[in-house]
Order: sequence, then C-alpha cells, then structure tokens
Amino acid sequence: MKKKAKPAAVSGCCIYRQVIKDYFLGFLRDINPERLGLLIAWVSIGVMFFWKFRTETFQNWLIGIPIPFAVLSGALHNVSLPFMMYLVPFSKEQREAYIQKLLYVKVAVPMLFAGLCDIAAAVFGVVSVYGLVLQLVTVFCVAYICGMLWDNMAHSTKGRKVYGNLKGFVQIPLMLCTVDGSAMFAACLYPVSEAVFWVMFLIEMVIMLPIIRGVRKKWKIIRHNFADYEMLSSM
Amino acid sequence: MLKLEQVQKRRNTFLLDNISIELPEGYIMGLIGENGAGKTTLLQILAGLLSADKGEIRLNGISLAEEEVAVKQEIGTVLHGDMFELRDTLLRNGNRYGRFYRHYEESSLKECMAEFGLDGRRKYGRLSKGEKLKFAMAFALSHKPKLLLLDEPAANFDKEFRTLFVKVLRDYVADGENTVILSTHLTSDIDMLADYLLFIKGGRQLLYGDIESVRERYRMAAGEEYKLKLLKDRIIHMENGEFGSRALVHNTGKSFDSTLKVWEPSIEELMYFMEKCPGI
Repeated sequence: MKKKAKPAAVSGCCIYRQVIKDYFLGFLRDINPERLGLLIAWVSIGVMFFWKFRTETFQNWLIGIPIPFAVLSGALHNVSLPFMMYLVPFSKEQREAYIQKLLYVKVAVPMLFAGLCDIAAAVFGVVSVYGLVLQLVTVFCVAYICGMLWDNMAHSTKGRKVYGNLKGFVQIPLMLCTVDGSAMFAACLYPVSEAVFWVMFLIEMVIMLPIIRGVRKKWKIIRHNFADYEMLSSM
Repeated sequence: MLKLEQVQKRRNTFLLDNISIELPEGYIMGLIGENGAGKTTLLQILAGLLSADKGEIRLNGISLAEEEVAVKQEIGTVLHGDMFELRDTLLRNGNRYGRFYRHYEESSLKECMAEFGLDGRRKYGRLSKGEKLKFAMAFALSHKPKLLLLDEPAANFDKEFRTLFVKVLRDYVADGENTVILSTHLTSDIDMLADYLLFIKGGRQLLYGDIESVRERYRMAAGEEYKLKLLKDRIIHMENGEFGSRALVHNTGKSFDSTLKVWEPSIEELMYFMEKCPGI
C-alpha cells in the first residue's frame, strides 16, 4: 500500500513560523571562536565609532544601528541546517525551500528592524530622507549578501567546496560588503546631504551590485549543496 | 517488512557492498561488526541521511529513494553526537522537531522522558552522553515509528537503564508491527535482545538470518590440532592454545570425530572467529 505523506504541521505559514524560530535561535546556536571573534571585532569597532560620534543625536544613531545588525544577522546564522533537519521527514527539495525561506527571514528581520528604528527616529526629531534611503539600501544589500555567504564553514575547505569550489569566493565579497556596510554606517550617523547621498549611493551600487549578481548566480548551487547532508558530511 | 536489495554505497575509499536483507515486522535485528565495518554508514542510509549508490530499500513496500518523506515518517533514529539544539530545553527540542512527524505527541514524549528519568525543562546541551541518547530514544519513540534505528546506544547506558532499555525495546516490538535495528559491538546486547543478526565485515555482509539458523550453520570444535585439521575446508578459522585447539567450522551435517568437543557457537565466538579469518 502506497502512502503519500506530507508533514502537515510544517507546511504553509507554519513553516515560516518554524523558520522564524530557527532564525532567532540561530543567534545563540554554535557559539564558536569565529563567531566570538566577529562579535568582539564588531563591539570594538562600535565603541570606536561611538566615541567618535558620541555627540551625534539619538535619531541619527537609530538610523545607523540597523546596518551592523544586518551584518550580524547574516554572520550569526548558518546557511546549513541543524542536524535534525536532515533527519526529519523532509525531502532535499523541501530543505532547499527551507534554506531559501531562512534567507528571506535573514533579510526581512533587519529590514523590519531598520523600519522600526526609522519610525522611532522620526518620532524623536527631523530625519534626513536621504539617510533613510541609504540606510535601507545598505541594510538590504548587506543582509542579503551575508545571508547567502556567511556560514561557519565558510573558511574551511568544506565550506569552500559548498560555495562552489571557489577559493576566496566567500571571503572577498564578505569583506567588501562589511567594509561598505561600515562606511555606510558612519555616513548614516551624520545628517546626510543630497551630495553626500549620491556619492555614497554610487559607491554602494558599484560595490554591492556586482557582488549580488555574482552571488545570486551561485546561490542555487550553494543552497543545493547545503540541503544535502551527504555533500556536507563527505567533504 | 524492511527489505534491502543489494545496497551499495561508496564513501571515499570505503565500500559498503551488496547488503541484502528481509527483516519482518516484530523483530529486533542486531547489526554487528568491528569499528569501521560499515554499521553507521548502513544506519545513515536507512535513516535517509545518505543515499545508496545502488540497490533498493523498501519499508513496508515503500521505496526510500522514491518516497523519502513517507518512509522517513516511519523511522525513528538514535545516533551518537549532538542531534538536537544544545541551547534549547528537551521539551522544546521535542516539539520543534516533532511537528515534522504525523504521529508525534507531546504527551508521549513527556511519558517517555519521565520513564527515562529526564526532566523536560533541562537544556539538551547540559545532558551527559548517556542522557542525550536517552532523550534521542524518547523522541524517536514519541513519534511512533515503525522502524527504530539505534546506533550503539547501550554502551553509554548505566546498568539500571540497560534493564529498562531492554524492556522498552521488547515492549516496542511486542505488537508485531514494529522493527528495531540495533547496531552494537556488545554481543551481550545481541544475546539479550536480537532475533535476527546481520554481521558486516569491511563493508561486506558476512551473515544474515535469524539467530538460531545462523548459529545452526556453524559449530565450534575443540580438541587436538591434527584432528581438527582433518576437517579441512569446513574450517573457517582455527586457533591453537596451550591445552589444545579451537575452531569455528561449517556445520554441514556430517558427524565429527568423537574425541572432539563440539558445540553451537555463541554470538561472541562467531564474531571473534569470523573477524580473525583473513579470507572472509
């Protein structure tokens, strides 16, 4: 007798609930030296920035803060899934879809956070619309790139294989993306004028767009590889 | 029924070759072999973590390759290592992954945890190795699988829990609908629990069958070396000791020299002599 089983409890919006839970749990999962190092680096940079911009107004800070959060959102989450996700009744295609949904959440949460910060900033005082646009574009680009590329395994041989056998494919875009994000963070701490906005926006597009294009091309392979336990465990 | 037909899997230099079994429901199969024999690889294939290069696996007629999700619904797996979220409590872990299974019930998990002496509020990462296996077992039982895969769990259990473990497995197969595959290198587990035996050596299937018929195929013979040597090609492996020799031989039905001591081999003896024989 043939049975067609669908895990009813994890379809539709329930799967998104699971993905969102997974996202928030991901902040605490697998604390390792790489993650700790990253957090320390970000806190140190943050302290330096804070000292330099300590006289800035609270609303400008509210506009700047979502950018490092977008980096952390990508960096503190894996593209690979927790072990049990490979064991439960989920096909490879379903796991791929799960990874895709997790990417959406990795982008959506920082965007939502940025939106809330922007509303709060507007409540506290006058904000520059240019600053908000710059912030939202940066948050999207950074969260998207980091969300696709940043996995704990990214710096290992295994990670390089998963990311399409390209040495440096992961590190260089991530470095550029982080540097660009930091620059935009600094820019957003000032009230942004029109001239500054266009210069920064141009820099942003020149750096981020080619990276996004390149990573998007590889994303299908990356997602496919991370959905396959055999691929992950054999390397 | 679990049916494996000429299952083959290559992983780097290791080859799991031509595994074929038919295991009816209601029985416990002991999967034995030395470290590196391929026991875990076979369990990972059955759990759907790895896919077989060749051959077919069917659980109650459903192909694992074709209906992966349907078959995985019916499989409970207990493996070594950290299977669950380290920073989450046992109950939350159970509910989190239990929702993927149609027959999962929180009450069932709570019952199992209580029986195994686990507190659902404890964090998974704070459990000992044995407790992690107990939780994995409780979770596996909570979604009522038809096939339970256990990778050497008993070695990490204390004496008290081992008795409970045996009872739980016996109860689990008692209704005649469920099946257990228990990978182990402890022959005492096999003696206590297993009805069937699959013996793997270097990725190859050496023995398969119900324990009685497997033991019936062989005999242990002890006596003087020259008398044992007369058994020639019936000998699988012979060892010479200070007070005589011992050999594992094929039981062809022919009689033995009356001066030889002959008996049915224990699982431990079977394993020992089979492993020692270089030709097999």
